[in-house]
Amino acid sequence: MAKAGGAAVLAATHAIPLSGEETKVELIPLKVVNPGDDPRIGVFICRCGINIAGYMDVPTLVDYAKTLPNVVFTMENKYSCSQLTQDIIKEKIEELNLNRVVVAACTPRTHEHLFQKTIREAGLNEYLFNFVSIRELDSWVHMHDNPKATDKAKDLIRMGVARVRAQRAELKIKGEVIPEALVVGGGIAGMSAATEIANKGFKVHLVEKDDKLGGQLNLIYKINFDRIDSREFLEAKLKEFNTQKNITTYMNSEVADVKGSIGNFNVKVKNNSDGNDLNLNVGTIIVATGAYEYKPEGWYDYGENDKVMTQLELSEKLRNDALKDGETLVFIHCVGSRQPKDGNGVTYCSLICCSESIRHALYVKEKYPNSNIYVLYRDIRVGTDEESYYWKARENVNYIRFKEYPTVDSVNGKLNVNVKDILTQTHLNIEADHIVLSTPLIPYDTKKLGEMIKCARDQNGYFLEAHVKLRPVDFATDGIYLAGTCHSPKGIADSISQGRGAAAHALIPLISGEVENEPLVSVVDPALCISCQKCEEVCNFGAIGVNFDNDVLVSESNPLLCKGCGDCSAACPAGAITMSHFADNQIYPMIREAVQGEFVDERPRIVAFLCNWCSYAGADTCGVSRFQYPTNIRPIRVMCTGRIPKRFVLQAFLEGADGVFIGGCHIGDCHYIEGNYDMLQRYNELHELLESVGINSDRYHLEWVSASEGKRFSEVVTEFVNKVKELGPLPKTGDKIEKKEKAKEGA
Amino acid sequence: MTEMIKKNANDLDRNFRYEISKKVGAKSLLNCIQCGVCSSGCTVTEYVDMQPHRVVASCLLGLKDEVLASQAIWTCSLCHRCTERCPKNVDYSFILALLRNMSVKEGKIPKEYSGSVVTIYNNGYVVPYTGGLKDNIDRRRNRMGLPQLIPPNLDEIRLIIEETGLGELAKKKKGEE
Repeated sequence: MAKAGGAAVLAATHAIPLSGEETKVELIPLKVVNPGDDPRIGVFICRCGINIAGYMDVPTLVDYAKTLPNVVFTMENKYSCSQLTQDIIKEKIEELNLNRVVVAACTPRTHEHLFQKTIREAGLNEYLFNFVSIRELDSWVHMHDNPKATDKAKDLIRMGVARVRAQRAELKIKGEVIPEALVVGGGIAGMSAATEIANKGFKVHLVEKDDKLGGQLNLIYKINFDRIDSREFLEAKLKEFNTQKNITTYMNSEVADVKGSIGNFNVKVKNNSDGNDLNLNVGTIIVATGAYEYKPEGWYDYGENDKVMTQLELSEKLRNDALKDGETLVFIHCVGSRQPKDGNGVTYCSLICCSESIRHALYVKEKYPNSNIYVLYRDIRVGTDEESYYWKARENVNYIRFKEYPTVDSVNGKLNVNVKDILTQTHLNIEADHIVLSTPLIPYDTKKLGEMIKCARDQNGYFLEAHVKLRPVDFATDGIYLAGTCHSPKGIADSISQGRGAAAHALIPLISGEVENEPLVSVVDPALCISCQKCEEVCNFGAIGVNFDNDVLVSESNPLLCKGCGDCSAACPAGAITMSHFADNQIYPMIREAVQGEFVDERPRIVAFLCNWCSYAGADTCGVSRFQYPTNIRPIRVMCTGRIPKRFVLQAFLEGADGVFIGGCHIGDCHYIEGNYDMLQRYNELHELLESVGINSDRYHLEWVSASEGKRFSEVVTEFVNKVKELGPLPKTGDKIEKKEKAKEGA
Repeated sequence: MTEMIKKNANDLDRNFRYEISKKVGAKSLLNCIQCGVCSSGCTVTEYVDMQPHRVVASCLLGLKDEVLASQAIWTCSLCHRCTERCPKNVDYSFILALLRNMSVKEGKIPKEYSGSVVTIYNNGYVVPYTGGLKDNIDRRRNRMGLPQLIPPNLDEIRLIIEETGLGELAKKKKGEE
């Protein structure tokens, strides 16, 4: 994907973007819907062929929906997603002056967008629409119980109608983009990225902490892919780079501070040689801070004996012809990499050292054909392009595989290497003239930078991309992209293509000139804010917090940075923060209707809060795979489990729910980085609280279910329903009797 | 686990790998990447002192004496399964034949194998047809109604053995005895 991005930017260099006129879509003006207006709701219920109609009584649902308050129109459709139905919806909005639309059909995750587009075309705001899932969450998972499935669908539709009543028109948030980019790091990845952005006609600022460009290329002997001298390659690159008038380079400089968000970052660049500061305003940022070769202090007399060197030091010797023919060289792999947790070095495999060693062995053999090379290795890991070199090296180089690290003794100025070869079962003693250690790449310290740009790093100090496969050059924070070895160890070719890929992504907002965000953002009511900073604590995107530059200390939310998880809204002790489109006043009616139907013929009744990205998707997967579970749960979709405050759970019990189920992403997989941690904390705190008010905390359950775990979703729901069934319905007075018994048992 | 060999790197025969690979058809030896597929499919893998991948690794490293003196190169049943399975097309069966030849030339062939060559050289048969054994064989053949054995043309057989190089072995062995 990163490579494809790199190819795309090269292809796009010569393409002329479409003009604003060409891309503009004409829409009819929006109908004004005031929050105080009487809701006029249209409910469209889908039969989905037999997928829904085959397992529940759709005409009954239509009749039932007609009786709900504010519903002025109801109909069933064979396929709601068909063009015919879209036309009917548009027609009815106009004819009956509908100002809210509910569609009960498959799942919002796949079809919400279609219906939103339809009602927008009819002049209704996209956010006056609610999707009720009666296929994945109902008909497909209760295939053998028509009456109960129908009852559940009635509840779900009633919940949907209750929510849509409170929904309000929201406008997409637009922001302008400063047509300049910042590249942090002047290695080959950063240079490639800067060149591509400059080629497209945008101004680029490149910040390099050293006094020369090129990074590790200055140290490498030859380029891996075409075996030309890396200095020549670098010179050619620099020549191309220096002709770019759009690039301004800041040497000996570091990024000292980053403020703002996509489209408008305010960056302070500090010059380390003269101590001057410089302020830049840029639209996007590319991080390419790079990595360096690990110096294996404490390994094999490294640093004490000049005959022991690293691969890059061998590079230097090869370049200067500092070796003699006929010498014996011993290469030792995995020095300092793949070590146990508390070992001397790093735990990860650095991926490129095997290829580097293989190429060096070949270069030595080429230059000094009479030399003897012994390569002592644990495992060989080479990529597709390097494999042929490996095969070639195998022909003339002794490859010796060890399990226990070899030992090296220095006797009379000679180095004695002792190694147990597990391939030939030989205890070999090698007299070596030079020892070359293959050491891992270590990322430069980017802790401070990571905090400034609010981007996560892994335990090894490498930056984490937004998604390993789908968004390999993006950060979770919008407008910031990554390239090169600050992301993971990689070769020159990969660094270049990733740099170009990052440039391709950074160019998207630069070219369009404007960023548009879903209005799923938090809004602070300054009158209620007590500036306690709780929201800033839980926000993983630096989108909210008290602005100390203001005269009045209140929290401010940046809608361009806000991702819409709603964690702050749940954390706010003053109730000052509203989550647009998932507001409390939209969720509470759903909780009430989930529990207080006229059809409560079946206990237990369980309210389930499901996170949009994992558990709700997992419930969808469960439906698609037709895994069956009891009909007792009434799911409520939220964007993140972090959105769920304690009051939602308590409200559910207050309304009479027999159990509350919460489903979120696995720890570490949260779409909003760490929203589920906040939920976990609230979950643990709430246990005690529930017990103190006399509710058995077994009635309250948190489970991590990922989008792929459909089978597991049905299992955990079945298990939880059975557990609550055992506990019986929640009495009006709570579970006090149970509690007493428990106390007795304890005594 | 087999016993570890102790070796100084200076005592390795660095040319051994080229000695084999320069021979027609054996260049593939250098292609080995030590994946071990040959050993995992070997039909006699339990009975050899050195598994195929180890023989190849030893050849590459230069453990000439150990390889040529090993039982492994003689125990092989030449089923060619290793050659079939090798992802790098190392013709192990063929290389093994070369190693056997080398072993013979160096006089490192185990007695069990060389002995039968000597017997054939001397008698023309694998089972000697002389003395008490001759009487025994004749009696049995008579009982089963088989025709009498015609003594082989020893000169012809010896000529073949000498011309093919096996004679060297026979002479060496004789000398030793």
